[in-house]
Amino acid sequence: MVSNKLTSGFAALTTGLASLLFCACTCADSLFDYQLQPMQVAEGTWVVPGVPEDFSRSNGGNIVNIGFVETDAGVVLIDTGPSLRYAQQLEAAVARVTSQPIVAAINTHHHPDHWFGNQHFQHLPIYALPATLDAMINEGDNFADNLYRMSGDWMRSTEPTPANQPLSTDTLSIGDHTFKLITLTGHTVADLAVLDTHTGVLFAGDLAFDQRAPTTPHANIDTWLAALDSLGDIDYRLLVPGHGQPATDDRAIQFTRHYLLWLQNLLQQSAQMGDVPTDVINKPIPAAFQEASMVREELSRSVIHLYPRLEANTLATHKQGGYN
Amino acid sequence: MTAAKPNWRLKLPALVFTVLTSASAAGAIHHCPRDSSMPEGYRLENYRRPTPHCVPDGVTVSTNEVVSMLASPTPPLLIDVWALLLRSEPGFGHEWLPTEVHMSLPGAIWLPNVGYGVLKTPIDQWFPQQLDELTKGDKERAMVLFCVADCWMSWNAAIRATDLGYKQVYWYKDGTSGWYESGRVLVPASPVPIE
Repeated sequence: MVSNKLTSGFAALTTGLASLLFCACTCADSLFDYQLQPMQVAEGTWVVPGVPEDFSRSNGGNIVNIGFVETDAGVVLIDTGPSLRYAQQLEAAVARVTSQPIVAAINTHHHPDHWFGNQHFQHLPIYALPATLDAMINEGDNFADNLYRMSGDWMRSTEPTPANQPLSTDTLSIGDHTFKLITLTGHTVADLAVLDTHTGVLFAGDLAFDQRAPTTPHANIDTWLAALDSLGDIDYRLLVPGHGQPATDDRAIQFTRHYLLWLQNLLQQSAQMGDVPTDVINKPIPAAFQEASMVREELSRSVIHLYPRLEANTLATHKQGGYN
Repeated sequence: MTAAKPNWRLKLPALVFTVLTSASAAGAIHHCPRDSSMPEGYRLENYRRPTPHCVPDGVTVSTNEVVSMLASPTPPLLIDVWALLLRSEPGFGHEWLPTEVHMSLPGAIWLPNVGYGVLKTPIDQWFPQQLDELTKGDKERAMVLFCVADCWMSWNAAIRATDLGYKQVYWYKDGTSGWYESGRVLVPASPVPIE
């Protein structure tokens, strides 16, 4: 029951957010206002939901779930959002629900919607896995170029600012909360899941999506599927996916697993058949994903990310079979 | 004779300052030494990023200052340098390929791609020619260079115009973004064709 209430409230909030963002483009006094609405999901724990879309000049990159946890030593952010403006507004949104100051942030992985707000919190410890840190440094400039192109002036004054504290331990204690740090891989080179042992809330980062097609620019589907198994073994009370609604059950893990298996099969079978990429992009979407957001868009991108290697592998197999 | 020239050049910033302040534009930045936020020459990559607070050799102006200048008896040229894809085929001339409507200040002249760090053919010839035509050869003609906010192309273009000998070069740092943010109207623009 609690979970139904939680999720339907979340859906209403997300829809409301979309209409507010639309309004933001027409009224000059609310220009570049992300309308951030923290939603309490557990004791001392909030999620600030984004819309199930791609970066755009109407959403300003607010497409991601940012979490924050109130400890007795201050507030810990789980990811920092897509821009400096977002981070400034996030700080204000946090201050509306707790009097505790923000004292630290954790970046779950190196995709820019999760850390381009770091700049605003760079005076604080910002934790990330070492491989995530390297990827932020290597790819930050490309990400910034892309985000300026897609989100436009929402990006004003944003400098890519990598995390400043590499994580080398399995736990991180801040105040009366101990966060279990679960190091996985598959969505990117390094994916951190964070379990708050105080509340049982699991921040899964982008290893888990719900009702929004997973993105694959740096994905390895095999290791991602293994990572989902690891997430499933964790004893959590609420799972917060990187994109989609938080839930007490494993729906986000299941959604992501089903989607990735479908995608993997589709790409492999298409490669076997010798389909050209444009054919694969236009394959039918299964009924199970027709209600989800961004499926056709992400399928198109995944074909570009993942298909060339499958085609090459298939060709190599054929050659060994005697075509050479 | 030769001594008169540098003297005259030294006086110019003071003259510009007087004109601006008389139009209640007290915030313009005239003196801008190069610092660690600026490259030694032109910015060569990552053109969309936060820009320095001013540009060496030019005068940095805000929206209000641009508005004041436009209301003066001798309004400046407005030059938008927002970049575009340029199709150049040997034997077929050059064609701009816009992918979306570009909104600019009313009355602006859109000279795309003149703010890249290195100008390639034909832009390297085209930019000086365009400035020469637009100013009718008058190096004293005031011009405001801009694109959007956080756009190094306008910063580069302001330095380049100064290097070409123009004496009243203004950099409108926030560009079309600042204009829009102030509640003013932007209008669809067309790039000046390359003949």
